[in-house]
Order: sequence, then structure tokens, then C-alpha cells
Amino acid sequence: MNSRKWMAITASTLMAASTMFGCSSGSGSAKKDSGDSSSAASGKPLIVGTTQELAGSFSPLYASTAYDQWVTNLVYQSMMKYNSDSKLELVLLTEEPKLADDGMSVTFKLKSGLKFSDGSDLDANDVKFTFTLLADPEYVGQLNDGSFNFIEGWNEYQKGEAEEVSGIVVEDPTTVTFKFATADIDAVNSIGTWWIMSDTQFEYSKGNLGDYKTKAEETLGSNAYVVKNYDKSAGAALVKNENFENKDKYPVEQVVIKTIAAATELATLEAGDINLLPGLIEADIIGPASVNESIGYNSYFRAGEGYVGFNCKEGPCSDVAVRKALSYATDRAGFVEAFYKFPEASDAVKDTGLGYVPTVFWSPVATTMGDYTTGKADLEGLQTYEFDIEKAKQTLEDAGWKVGSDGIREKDGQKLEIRFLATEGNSVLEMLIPMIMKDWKEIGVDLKQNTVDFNTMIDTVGDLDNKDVSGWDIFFMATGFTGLSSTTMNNLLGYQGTAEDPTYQGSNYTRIVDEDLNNALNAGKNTTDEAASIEAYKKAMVRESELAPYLPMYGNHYFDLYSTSVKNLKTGPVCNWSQALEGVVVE
Amino acid sequence: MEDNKKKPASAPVTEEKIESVGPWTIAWRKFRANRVAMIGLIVFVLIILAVLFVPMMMGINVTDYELNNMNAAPSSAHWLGTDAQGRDCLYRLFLGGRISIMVGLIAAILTVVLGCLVGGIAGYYGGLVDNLLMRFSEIVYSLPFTPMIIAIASVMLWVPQNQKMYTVAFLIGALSWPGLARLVRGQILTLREQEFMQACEALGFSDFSKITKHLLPNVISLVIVNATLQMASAVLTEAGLSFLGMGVMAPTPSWGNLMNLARNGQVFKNYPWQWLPAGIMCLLTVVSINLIGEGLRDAFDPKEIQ
Amino acid sequence: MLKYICKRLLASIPVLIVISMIIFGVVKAMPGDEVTAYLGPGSKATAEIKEEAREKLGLNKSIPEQYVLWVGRVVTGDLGTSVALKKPVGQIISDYVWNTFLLNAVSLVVALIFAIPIGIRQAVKKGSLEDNFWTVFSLMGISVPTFFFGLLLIFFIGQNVSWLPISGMRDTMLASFGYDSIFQEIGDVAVHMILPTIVLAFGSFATFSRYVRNSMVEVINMDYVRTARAKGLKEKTIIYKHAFKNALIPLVTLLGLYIPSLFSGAVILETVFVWPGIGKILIDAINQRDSSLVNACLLFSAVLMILGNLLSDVCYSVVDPRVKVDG
Repeated sequence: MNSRKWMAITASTLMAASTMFGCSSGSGSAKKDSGDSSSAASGKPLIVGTTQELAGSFSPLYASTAYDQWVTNLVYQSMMKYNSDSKLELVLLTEEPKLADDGMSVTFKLKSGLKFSDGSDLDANDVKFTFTLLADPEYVGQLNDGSFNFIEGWNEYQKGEAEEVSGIVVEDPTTVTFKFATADIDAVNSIGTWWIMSDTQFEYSKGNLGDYKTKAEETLGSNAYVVKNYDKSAGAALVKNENFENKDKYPVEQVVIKTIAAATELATLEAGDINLLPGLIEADIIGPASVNESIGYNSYFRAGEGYVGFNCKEGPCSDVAVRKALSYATDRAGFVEAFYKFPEASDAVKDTGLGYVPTVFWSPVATTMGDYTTGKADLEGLQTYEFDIEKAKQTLEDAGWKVGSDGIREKDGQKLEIRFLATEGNSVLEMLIPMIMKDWKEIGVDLKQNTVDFNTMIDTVGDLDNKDVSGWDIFFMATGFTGLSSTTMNNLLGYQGTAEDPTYQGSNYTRIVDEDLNNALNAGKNTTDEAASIEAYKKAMVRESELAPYLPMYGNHYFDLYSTSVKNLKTGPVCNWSQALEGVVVE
Repeated sequence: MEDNKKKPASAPVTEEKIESVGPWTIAWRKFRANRVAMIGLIVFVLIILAVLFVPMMMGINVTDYELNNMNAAPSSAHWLGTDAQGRDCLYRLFLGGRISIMVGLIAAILTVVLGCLVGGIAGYYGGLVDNLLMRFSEIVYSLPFTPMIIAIASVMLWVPQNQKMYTVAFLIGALSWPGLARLVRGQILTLREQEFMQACEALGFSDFSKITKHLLPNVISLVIVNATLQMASAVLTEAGLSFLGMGVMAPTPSWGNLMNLARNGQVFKNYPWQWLPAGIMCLLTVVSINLIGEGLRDAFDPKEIQ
Repeated sequence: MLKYICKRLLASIPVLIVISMIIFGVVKAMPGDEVTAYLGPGSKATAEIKEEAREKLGLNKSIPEQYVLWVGRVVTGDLGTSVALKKPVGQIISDYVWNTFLLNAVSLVVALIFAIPIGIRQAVKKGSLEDNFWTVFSLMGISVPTFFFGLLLIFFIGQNVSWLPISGMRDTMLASFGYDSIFQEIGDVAVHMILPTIVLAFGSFATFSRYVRNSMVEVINMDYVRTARAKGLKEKTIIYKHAFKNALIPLVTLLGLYIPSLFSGAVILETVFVWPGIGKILIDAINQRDSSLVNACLLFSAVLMILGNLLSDVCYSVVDPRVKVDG
């Protein structure tokens, strides 16, 4: 070989490099027809920043991250939706859905002339089709959690030979009735707020989801926007749906969801590269932003809590006294104060605060019940476990846990050793564990930490079929609650079958089994009388606080930061920015 | 590597000749004369002393924290500030150094032991044993190092947090030895053809004495140089793994997982004292080890003997 | 020679088979249930649905059976579907591998542009202060953790220079609504590449400059160079015409060995700069327990690795005829 050959290699490398620019677009990107994007004159685009990449599954069936669901919300409509005040509004309907007198069916009246973005009609058949897809035996998306099992004929379609879901009846093109197999307090919410899909997008037959499964990126909805472009690393861009009837109600012509680097959030917002930064909890960003005149913010309760869960089935934590003592011995107020400390912030934001200690483990945004959780209202009999080391010691003492020679308590020869199944890279735990290690030691508890990755933790505590749960005593998790109903708590606290041989509800990771609690939860869910439901749930809440299966560590406020050029953006706990674009203007 | 490969032709002969003068003395003299390498050695010794004694002298405990003094900037009380739990960053920096260097050391030792064992046996016995062992090392050699070590590390996540560092060291060692094994084997193969080995054969020395007394001393320089460089790269690998959250885990600090703090945008931007010093220390350590390694290589290189 | 290459290729097959077993085993052993990954994070699917999914994914079969099925599919070109990205794995890899190649190739070229002249200068002025400086400098290149160097660049430069993007490959607005021209597109990608290229090029610069220096040092001491000097040729002519030409041979060999690695991603670096390449895809896939994608990425890099080794042996035997061609 000589230098000429070497030149050839270098040259070809260079050439390869330069041609690469042309064809190296990431996944599914860049259709460069600029035909319909020339509308920029009528307003600036809304550019939303996120540090999390979109996963690219925007189909309602498979959108599983909150970020992907932003796109789903922009593209798809549901029959009803929550507004920023958490009130249910009509979207595709002409009138409030009518519940039958016996509460066992509900009828939805659709507007006429509704269209999907491809120009095809949206009618009652599409509604039926949407829910039929969810009931398909082959559908295994994350939303297949049994939330629609109350619909008549659901199980027969999913597990049996039925040709259709018999409980969904199309009366005429604008009228659809859902019949219930069991009463459900949540029926209208769950059905009404689900995204409606088109029955002509792909071929479908029972048991064969086909393209619905493999083309989760492709969308066809009826909302104001359509996806123009998606690139995993860059983000998504949406433009106006030309077939949308009330285009004027959505002045924003283009919506861009942009992946930005962590640590640059505030700088990009200040520089105007993005104009909306939703769903923040970080003091370091919110604080400085609140004293910046050109940045506005919305804040609202986040529909979620961070909590410690106790193993109520085996080990020392199966003793309710231990759970109570540990709850007393955890300085949650101190933790929240330290964890959510502002460096600098406006007084208004400081007053709102970032975090708070929930009084009880319950959805803080649940209708009526949420006020007890956030401490806005008091519920008689509720135990709230303020930090009190002496009370913790006393509780253990009374239950027969005596201090041993090494300072660790024991009972019947069993040491009070608590194994914390922690997850790596969790900033909450990094602060929490050293803290409780010290305090719990003082009451005679030996805390052992076992750090695993998140998936392992979920598989360990979340495998409810596994009878052997002796490997851990407590875990930490943060969870989001869906919707405004308390029924979400049934999933976390309840069981089916008998107390002796229970089948835990899907998220009952603590494996708490208590007949009184379970009965109250079921009474709250399986009724159509709202007042009765609330009463039952109050009972359940008090009972839960006595049993202390979960120790809620913190709740937070979400902050949506936006540049002041964004007007009329009103967001709330169940109405994020992607559901609140009606009337929003970017100047 | 290219240097090592050239060595077999001349190395043994020359070294045999100067045996009486003492090859170690000569090497040491040459190393001492190499100013750059000496600087490396001094820096490395200083780092070792620091990671050993600074945490001891500070008189604090790894579990100590001050919640009311979080993310504090460097001050006279905390020279490198504090982290998100109000722990002293200087303390964690040097404690982390202990772990990182330890991982490097264990990994290097493991590499050397495995490499010499496999390479030595293969080279000495030859035949079927050689064939099998070399096939085996070819397989390990063909595993893509970084992707594989990340994948395996993610499998090992179940290992308790306090044993994590040994896992990491073991992993690095277990994937790094084939290179050395090949070198040792090549060296031994050439040595076996040398006259002094044939003399040993004729005198009826045992395998054991042949290997320990005559073969090993001839590959030792190769091994030492290799071990040094291996240690440097093991420290780097640990840093990378822990940076990704798959290596040593908090609360045990290591330079890698201290740098991992930078993946939190706020820490990265506002509290650089939590991650930047770890990177600098890591760089200094690896540079100094590499300098020593290169110095040793030159010192052992017979071609450079005046 | 051709016979030798064929022989080596054949010999690689059992190695590849064992490696594929190791890869499959490792991916199987990853914590986290594949069914959970399949159903998506936060799935509240019932036990029955999980069981169905398990059956569908073939997870109820024994591990060896699953392995055989997997190999069978891979051989026929079916790498499976990514559960996280809901796309065929083959398509994902072919989408992303070019991003990786682009970054690596440009970095290599940049590295060479600096490494060759500097390496030569070092050799010519061997032992001088300048030589020592570059020696230590290039030693830094192989000693600095790439991600730390990347973080430093972002911290000191990226954060302060507003036009310099610190992550990604394209500007979202431009990529979404179309570039005005191909030049704008090239420019956009180019600015995104600046920081990661600096980091990667620094590393390769270190390797290559040391290489050039060492082989030049050797060549300069050769008889024919002395002869050229004796003939009274200009020093420049000697260095660049005679010496460098010969020093190039091993360099070209080394470059050849680099070709396969151009396609394998700098895993950690791509993660730091959010560069949409093979390395980042691998990390994402591992974090999401996207087993078919992890399998494919690992297998892909293993094949590249084996090719690289093969290439290196072949080149070595070409350069140095003394090497016995018997594997």
C-alpha cells in the first residue's frame, strides 16, 4: 500500500460522511412537504420543552408515558373532558349523558357532522369500535386493567366466544348506550374521557389487532391537531387538523414538543427557544423562574403521592403496631421541608410550596376525599401520625417489642430488622434513607438497605401471584392517581375473594387484607349514588389510616412555567396543557 | 501492543546477558531518569496517600448528613461544599477515590492472574490444551467490551449495594484477560524455543521449576507493564459504569457515581463542586498510572539499553 | 490469502455461535419481567392477560428452546420487534447506525488531520519539550473519561455559547417543518456535532498521534533514511517523501481496523450528548428491558468486533509476511 491508497480511503470516508447528512434522519422523520406548514404567519408556534424523550406510541391503545399522551390528547378527542377546575365538560356530546333510573346503563348523545382528520365521519359506531378494541382478547396494552369490566358483555367478548361487546348498543348514528353488568360510580367518567378512535384506520377483526399493534406511532383522531413529524431524539411537531370544525377556537397553529437537555430547561425558556415548560416540581427551576417577570406559571395539586409501602403479609411489618411506630418515627415534615427547599423564589410561590405531607394515603385530587388528604378539611377519626419518637417507642413497647442487649428491639426471638427495598438513582431515597436510619435506630429498629433497579423492585413487590414475599419489608414508590374518583384506591387497598385466601387488586403491593376496609371500598365503588359513595369512602379512609399499610411521604404541586407571550393557558390536576389549548394564544 | 509483539525476538537474550548487573536495578535507574514517568509516580503516590488518610483525618462518618446544610457551596467548613444530603463533598471525593482505585487494582490483579494462567498454560503445554484455551480466549476477546459489560452489569443489579464494587472489579477482570493471555502465550512460545529452555529440558528440571524459575521471570516485565495499563483502563471502566448507574452505588461513593450526580440537570449546572472534582481526580489518577506504565515499558525495553 | 480469509471466516462461525449464546443468556438474565416490558410501564394487566402475553412471547418454553427459535429467526433476517419503540428491530438499527457512523467518521477524519502532522513533528523532534508536551497531551486523550470530557465541554462551552447545541442531532423546529435547503440541513447537523466530535476526536487523536510518532521514530532510524540524508536531500523531502511514506503502511493498517468500529456506537458518549446512535439505543433498550433490541445491538457489535479482529489478523499477515498464515 502506498500513500495514494491512503488518500483514497480518507476521501471515501469524507464522502461517506458528507452523503450521510442526506439520509441520516432518525426514525420516521422528515417529510419535507412545506405545503401546509406555511401558516406560521397567523401566530407563533407553541413550543413545549421536555427532558424526557417521547417514546413514539401515540395511539390511545398504547400511549403509556405522560409525554406520549400529550400527543394523544392533541390528536384525539374524548366524548367529555375535565377542565382546569376539574369539572367534566361535554366535547363530542350535545347533552349531559343520561343515566337510567336503575343506574345500570348510560346513554351518550353525539353531535352530528363530527369528522376525523382524514375527513371520515365520527359517529356512534366509532365509539363502539373504540371500546371493542379495548376488549379485544389480543389487546394487552397497559390500560387493560379491568377498568371497563363493569360493561355488560365485556368479559364474554374478551374471554369467550361473543362476536361483539353486547353491552354497547348503537341506537342510531348519534346515540350509543352502555349497559352495565355491575354498578360503578365511575362509569360515566371512565367511558366519557376515553379517546375515540376511527374504525376505518386499519383493518380489524376479533383477535387480530394487526396494524394497531405495530403502527402505534400512526394516529387518526378528531381533535384540533395532527402529527406532522416525529423524531425520537428531536421530538414531535403537530399542525392544525384541516377538517376540524371549530378551528378558530384553537388559535395556536403549530404545537412542537421539543426534547431539551436537562439543566437547560430554564435557560431555553428564558431564551424563547421554548415557551412552555409543563409539570415541574424542581425548586431550582421554579424558584428563579418565579422572580423572572417574563415568565408566568400555573400551579395545581399533582394527582400523585410518594409513599413507603409496608409488607403487611410477612415479617415484622405484618404487625400493625410496627407499621404505626415506623410511621410515628418518620419526620415527614422535616423531610418535605428539606427536600422542597427553594433557593430563591417569589413570596407567592413560597406560599404555595412545592411539597406537603399528605395526612393519609389517598388521591389528593379525589372529589371531596382529596381535601382530607391535603389537609384542607378534617375527617373525624383520621390518624395522621405526626412525628413523635416517644409515641413510636411506646407503641412498640405496648405491642411487646422489647429492647434487646444490642439496642435492637425483639419479640418472640425475632429481631426488629427492617429491610428496605430501595431503588437506585432515586433522589428521594438518597435523602430519606439516611434520615430514617438515624431516627428508626433510636426506637430500636435495625434498618437494612437493599438497592436494586426499578424494574427489579417492581417485579419483586408487584408480583402479586408470588406467595413468597419474605424478601422485603418496605419499599418506596411514587404513584399517580388517575381521574378524580376514589375508585383508584380500590386497586391499591383492596382484594377479591375471602380474607383467608385473597386475590389482591392490581396495585395492592402492600398486600393489606382487611374485611372492613375492603367492604367500605367496594361499597364506595359499586354504587351509582354519589353521596353513599362518599360516605363509604370516608369509612375506608379512616380504616386505612388505622391500618397504616402505606405511609404517604410527600405530595407536590405541579408548576407549568410559560413565557408571558402565552396567553389564556389554564391547567389543573386532571387537565394538563395538552388538554387545555382551547383559546390559548401565543403572541 | 506493537512494542510487546516485537520484544520476543531480542528480549530474552539481552536480559540473560545482563543478569549479573541486575535487570531490576537497571530498569529502576532508567525509570528514575525518565522525568515524566517520575512525575506520574509521585502524583500517584500522593493520590494514594490522600485517599487513604484524608477521610480518616476528617473524623466524619459515611452516614453523617446535615439536612439544613444541603448543596452548600465550598466554604471553610466544607472545602468542597456539600451534596444534596448535606454530606461533605471532600470526604466523599477521597472515599470515592479509595473505592475507584480499589476496583482498578482488583480488576488488574484478576486480569493478570487469569491472563498469565491461561496464556502460560496454553503456551507451555501447547497442543490440545493450547487449542482449547485459545479458542476460549478468542471468544471472550470477541465480546464487544463496553456494550457487553454494560449489559452484564445491568444483570448484576441484584447484587447488594455494599458488594457492588467487587462485582464491578470482577466483571472488568473477567472480560479483560484475553489480551494479556495472548501476549504471555506468544512470549512463552518463543521462550520455549530458546537454548536455555532446551538446557533445562536436558537437565531434567521439573515443570514447576521451569515455569517459575525460568519462564515467568522472562515474562514478568511484560506482565507488569500490562497490569499497570490495565489498572488505568479499569478505573476508567468503573467510572463509566457507575456514571450510567450500573456500577458502584450510593451511598458508597466512587468517582464514577459522583460524576453520575451531573446527570441531574440542577446539580450539573448549579452545584459543580459535587461532580467536577471527581472527574479531575479520576483523570489525574489515570494519567499518572498511564505515565508510570509507559515509563515501565521504556525501562524494561531492552532496545533502549545504552 | 483468499483461502486463509475463508478459513478464518469459517472459524469465526463457532465463535459467533458461542457468543450469541452468551448474549442471549445475559439478556435473559436481566432483571425485570419481559412481560412487564411488553405490556408497558405501569401496566395493571391482570394475571390472565400476563399469562397470555407470556405464551404469545414464547416465554413459557425452555431457555434452550427459546434460544433456538431466536437464532432461527435471526438467521432468516427477523430480529424481532422492539417492545418500547413498537418497530422492527432491523429497521431501528439501520435507522440509527448511520448516525453513529457519521459521528465516528467525522471524528476520525478530524483526529487524523491533527494527529499526522503532530505525530511527525514529535518524531522529528524526539525528546524535545514539544515532543513531551504532545506525549502528555495525547496521554490525556486516552486517560480522560469520555463522558467527563463531554460534561466539561457542556459545562464550560455549551452552556455559555447560545448557538451551540449540547444535545441531539437536529433542531426540532427545523426537522419538523422542513429545512429550506440541503445546506441548512448540513449546517444544522454540523453544529450539533461539534461538541461530541471534539470529544471523540480527542480520543482518536491520542491513539493515532502516538502511533504516527512511534512508527516515524523507527523509520527515521532506518538505513535508507540515513542514505537519503547522506545524499544531501532536503530534510523536508526526507521526512515527508521517504520516511512518512513508509510509516504510512502500518497507519493504513490501523485505519482499516477502525472501519468496523465506526459503526459501533460510543455508548456513554452518545448518552451524554443524546446523539441518536446505536450506543444510545442500546442503553435505552437495556433500561427499558427491550430484550429483542438489546439482543440485536449486542449481536451487531459482536459481529463488528469479530470482523475487526479478522481484519487485523489479515492486515498483519499482509504487512508482515513472517507471520505464519495458519491461524
